[in-house]
Amino acid sequence: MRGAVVNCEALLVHTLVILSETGECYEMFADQLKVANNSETAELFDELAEVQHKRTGNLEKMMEGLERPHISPWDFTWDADHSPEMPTINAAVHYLMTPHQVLSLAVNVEQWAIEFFTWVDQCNSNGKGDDALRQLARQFSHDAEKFRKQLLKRQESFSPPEEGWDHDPDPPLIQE
Amino acid sequence: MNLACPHVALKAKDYKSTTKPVWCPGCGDYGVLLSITKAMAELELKPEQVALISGIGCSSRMPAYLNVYGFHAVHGRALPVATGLKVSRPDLTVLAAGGDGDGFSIGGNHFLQACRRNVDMTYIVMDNQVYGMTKGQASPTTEANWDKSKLTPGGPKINPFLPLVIALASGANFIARTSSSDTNATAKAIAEGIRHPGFSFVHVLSPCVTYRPEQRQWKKMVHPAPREFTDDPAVAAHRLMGDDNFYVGTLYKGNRPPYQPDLNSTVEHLSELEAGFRV
Repeated sequence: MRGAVVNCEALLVHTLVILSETGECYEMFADQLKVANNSETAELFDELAEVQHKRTGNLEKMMEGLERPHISPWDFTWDADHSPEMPTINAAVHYLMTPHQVLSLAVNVEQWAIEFFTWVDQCNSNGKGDDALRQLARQFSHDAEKFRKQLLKRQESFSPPEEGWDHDPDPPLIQE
Repeated sequence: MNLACPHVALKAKDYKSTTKPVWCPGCGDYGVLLSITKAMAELELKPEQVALISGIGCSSRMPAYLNVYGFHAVHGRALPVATGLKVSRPDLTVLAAGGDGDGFSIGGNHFLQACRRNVDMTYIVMDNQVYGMTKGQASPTTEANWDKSKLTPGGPKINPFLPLVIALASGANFIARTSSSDTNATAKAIAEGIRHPGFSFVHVLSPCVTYRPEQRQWKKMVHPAPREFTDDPAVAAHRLMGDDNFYVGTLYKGNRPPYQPDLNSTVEHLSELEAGFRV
């Protein structure tokens, strides 16, 4: 992580980006898998996108009337290796991926978010930050943890991918 | 009565068209699309003031997925079209985009001349070291020993084209390399390239997960360049000697003035032009 989140407004803007961009990302993954005719996983990504859009809407309501500091995409506190807003956009999906893997990806996203909120909380401990900020960070962490648990529960209903799940009997690497 | 519309800042997604990309799931070009839209939103560009010109190939489908002006040109010819557009409409923000095959093989000479000419535009090359659209042949940037294509048994056996070296030697005024997996850093490089006067070259490592599945590991292999950019081409050249092709960051920001011909013609009648060609 770099920089610091030092007030509630900055934390709210970071959180809004986490929620809205993951929502858009899930939507994009759903579109990719529809093109690849993997409808089961596409539907799951669509469902996840809807949840993220709802969470984004709730936060937007919470932020109504508040002044939002402008933060350029490259100035967010997280770095590329640990970016909670983008579930490692490329190479994260595969056209043969299974619902179990979709949920693993979503669980990781929530885990990254929890780590981010915990980091904000810790950075502002020992009287360094205001209590309202720490409380907000803990609340967001709690929300992410709750959703992560729901995802894990949902994941139990799908069997893990078998060995060779990405084997394609008619692979694309054929040249004449 | 004031009829002026209030300024409404566009979000990145507002720059996307309603056409859904048909790239393979996991393709790096999705990340680049996102980065382009983030850069445009950050620079608050008006969509009607932007044009993106492409050639042919998977990544050259980019104009269809944006709601700015676009032109899907012929193979390798994105840069001449973009150059013509920019010199005739210097008020526009002109971007060119394409892949390594399009830009460095059939369009290779245009790349050299565009760097040399230094027209104020930004060229984004999504490099996956393969011709993906035509089913996986070796491209100019493919490693000499890549032997997966039947067309090049045992590998191409020739050294790969080094885009940053060529760009610097040919006179590009801004040179950066990024990874498509880091959409925010790529957005920053594109935004800086657009802001920087002259010809800006943004080299994006963008994996082809279908024909080069091993490139899924690229996001773990890239690492930040050890030093900040320089404005000295000799220093940049020296740094490139130690480049392992996975350094990311801005390498060079030059100070050469962009080429922009005088558009105020003194010719009043076509016959005056014809006179110059009379035998």
